[in-house]
Amino acid sequence: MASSTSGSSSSSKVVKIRSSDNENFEVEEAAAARSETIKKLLEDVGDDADVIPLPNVDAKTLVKVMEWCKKHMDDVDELNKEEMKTWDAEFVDMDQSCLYNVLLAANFLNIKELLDQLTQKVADMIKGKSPEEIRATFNIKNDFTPEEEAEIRKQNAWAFE
Amino acid sequence: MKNHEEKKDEVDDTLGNSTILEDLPDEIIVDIVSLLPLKEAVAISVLSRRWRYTWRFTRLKSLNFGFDITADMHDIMFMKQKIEYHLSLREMPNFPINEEVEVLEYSSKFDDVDRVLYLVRNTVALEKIVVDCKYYHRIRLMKTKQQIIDPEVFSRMQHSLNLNPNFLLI
Repeated sequence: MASSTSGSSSSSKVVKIRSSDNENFEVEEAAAARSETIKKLLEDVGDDADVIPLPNVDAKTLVKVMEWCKKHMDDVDELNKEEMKTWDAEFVDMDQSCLYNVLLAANFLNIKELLDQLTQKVADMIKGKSPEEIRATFNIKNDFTPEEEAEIRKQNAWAFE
Repeated sequence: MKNHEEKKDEVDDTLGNSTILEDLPDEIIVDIVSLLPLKEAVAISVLSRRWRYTWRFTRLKSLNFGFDITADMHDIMFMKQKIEYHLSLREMPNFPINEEVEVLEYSSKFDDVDRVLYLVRNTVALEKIVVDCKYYHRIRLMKTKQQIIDPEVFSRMQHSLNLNPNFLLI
């Protein structure tokens, strides 16, 4: 029976998902369905779904992503918007490695709003920094020769004023 | 006890196989760079080979040139004319994108116009660009009518925008 697709009424329905490192999680369907990828999978397998494997997301990252999904599963107008903003700001405030893992997961799981928040966070980390500071912050190796770098600066001189 | 363990895990992760910005796929990198002011997006080309052309793939919802347009440049004459770009798209019916495109303002020398227009051409489905040059003219690029104000400026624009025949200056 494929009757439970509407599903918004029962908050109790739970789905099982499995991380790449084989940890199983039970998550409310409404939260998991914030992920378009999971939502599609659920629609495809219907009620027969046992465990949904997520081969690209490790347990630590999945916990973070589901934390976000749980917070964001209710309609936004029900919640205090300011409180939500603060929560989101605190959520994206994590170490770089974790941030990128969650970003990759949000991309794979297709959670647009989370993806937007995370790309904005990284952009904010870049903003206002000199190229040297950006390299240092993000561990980027300069593979230009000094001549090449000078040439690029010359080509786009207006951007380096 | 449990809290301690969690903290320890985090430290270990940063030491071990941690993920860095450059591990992200290009499409995400482009999304990130698209959120920067144009000036900073272009400056990123100097970081490394990977970043060299990223800004050319950026998709801009609104263009923010990252310049202080109040800077007084009148003494620098031709080398640094104050040029303002306005993308007045809302006047156009059936404009294909719904993002609001902000009024653009940009100060630099004429050569740089090419680069800016290159970006604009590649990122925004343009119907019209209006360029205000402080010491020259107001130039409009539109898709339909033609009214050349300054042939020299026009040819420069045409060249840099790689204009198709029905994309002309009015």
